[in-house]
Amino acid sequence: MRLPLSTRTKFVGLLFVLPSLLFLFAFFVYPILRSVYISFFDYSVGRDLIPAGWSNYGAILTDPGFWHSGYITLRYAVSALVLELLGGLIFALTYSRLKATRYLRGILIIPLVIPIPIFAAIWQYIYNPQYGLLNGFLQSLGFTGQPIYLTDPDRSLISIVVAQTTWVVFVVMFLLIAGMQSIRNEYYEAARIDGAGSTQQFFKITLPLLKPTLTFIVIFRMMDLMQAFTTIYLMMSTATGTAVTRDTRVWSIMIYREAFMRFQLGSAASMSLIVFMFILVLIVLYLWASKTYESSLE
Amino acid sequence: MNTIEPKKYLVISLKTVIIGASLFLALFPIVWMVFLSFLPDLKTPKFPPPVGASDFSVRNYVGLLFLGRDVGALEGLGSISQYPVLRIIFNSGLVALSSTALTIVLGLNAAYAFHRFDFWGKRVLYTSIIIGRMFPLISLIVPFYLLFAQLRMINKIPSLIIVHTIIFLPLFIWFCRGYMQSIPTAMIDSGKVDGAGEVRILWQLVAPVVLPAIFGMGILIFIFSWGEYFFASALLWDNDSITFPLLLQLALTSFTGSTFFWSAIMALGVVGAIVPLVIGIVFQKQIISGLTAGVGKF
Repeated sequence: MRLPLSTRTKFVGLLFVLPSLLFLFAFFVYPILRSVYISFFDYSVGRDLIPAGWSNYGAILTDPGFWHSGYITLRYAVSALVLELLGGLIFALTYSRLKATRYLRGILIIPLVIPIPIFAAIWQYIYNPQYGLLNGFLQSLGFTGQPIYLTDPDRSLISIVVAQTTWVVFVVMFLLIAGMQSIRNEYYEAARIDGAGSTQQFFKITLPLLKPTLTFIVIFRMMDLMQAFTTIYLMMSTATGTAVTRDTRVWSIMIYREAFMRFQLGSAASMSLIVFMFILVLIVLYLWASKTYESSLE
Repeated sequence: MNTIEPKKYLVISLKTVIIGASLFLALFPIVWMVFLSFLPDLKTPKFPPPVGASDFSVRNYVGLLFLGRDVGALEGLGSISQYPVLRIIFNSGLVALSSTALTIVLGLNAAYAFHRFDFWGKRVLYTSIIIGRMFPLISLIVPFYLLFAQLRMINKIPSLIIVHTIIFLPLFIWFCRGYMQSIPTAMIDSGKVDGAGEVRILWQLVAPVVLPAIFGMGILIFIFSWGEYFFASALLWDNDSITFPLLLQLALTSFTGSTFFWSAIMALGVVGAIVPLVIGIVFQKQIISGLTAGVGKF
């Protein structure tokens, strides 16, 4: 029996997508569902599941440590985002209409491809109080005060923000250059004929037309920064010897610690889901806010 | 007028400063890492390091790469020498290559299905894949750990390959599908007229056209996978199965205390940076187009 053509193509299409679907179901959907299930139990590897009801969720949401961790996460993400955007914008404005950019690209791309753990190692060295570059440099300039420690609670977070910005700023820069190059040149020509200076051109043409790119960068970077782990964990865990201190314990590190240092997998699973909800709410809020703002302008 | 206007002069010098600063930021950490890697151990807290030309040597590299675990006592290398460095670098390459290949094979088929066929649940499936991409990775580490513990795949390299594939598959499907939309339908139909099966149309007609997209994304996946620390640290720990970022972290943490073997660590960093650095510089155009692909479409 020959099936009608439309049914046949439907069937063929399903066959093409099936391997990916099975893969995503087995290794993405299933583990998430299972960890939702586990989040209602007291569980550590090798032990039995002990039903816990909502107690994991209750314990996390009433734990001041969790909220403190959320505050640290937000502080880290927002300060890093501001610094990245500022630096990225300055670099992109310089490079977007420069002919030499093409030749310098090979250098500017280096920070994009170096693995983050390597940067973390280099910056550990730079910040090292005894042998490091920064303190050595400050001393050679005549500052003989206390060396800057990465473990200093007042400075650790901002030190990491500065360090990570030195490489992420190039990602933001390339995204902004792409956005700037998609703005048609005629706008600038027209503005020049009308006598607009470069400052005016920036605020009246570049910035408004860059808004979709900026929205993209803010969301993409916020998603990333709210989940920052490697940079903070590697720089702090080695600076402090073992554990990451309270002042840099962002959400990701809190989850990691609960699961792999305290072995409380049930509680870690519920923590993961709570964090997921928070990140989701933040993104939706941002999208809603920027939509409302945009329509208020029209 | 012969003299340059003062304002223009100011702009030019400002741009020069910005370009200089950005090149310094991009180059300095790597140059400094390479410089330190050729030094004997720096135990003197001085800036700049008090070294003469005679101090430079490749002994750190020789020790790392060729002596391996037999030289536990080799002064300066510390405990790095307990690890099979070449084997670990190979593991990183294996994980990066396999996850890239798996993502391409699965993703290309799925993207083709979404582009060309109509099947039951297509819209819902596609939307869920795109939304799935937004799922925060930090909320996935516990589900992944629980899954691989259940499958008895902890400490086995395939678990990390699966994780890296899951992270990129939705993005790859979305990216490739977008690219396929630029292929004229007539071209695909011409293959149909010639009697080619759908599989042959995909691999012989469509794949070559979307090759730039596949390539750009593939390189991004490879570079990410090569340096990924977060999931690797939860899934692998055995000396023979860890990847490069884990080795670097182990080396860093084992040096806390009074002794610092910075030049050996920097040599290790250089060894791990070579592959992504070469790929990055050779394929800079593809990386930037892969990275900025989202900007225009958001």
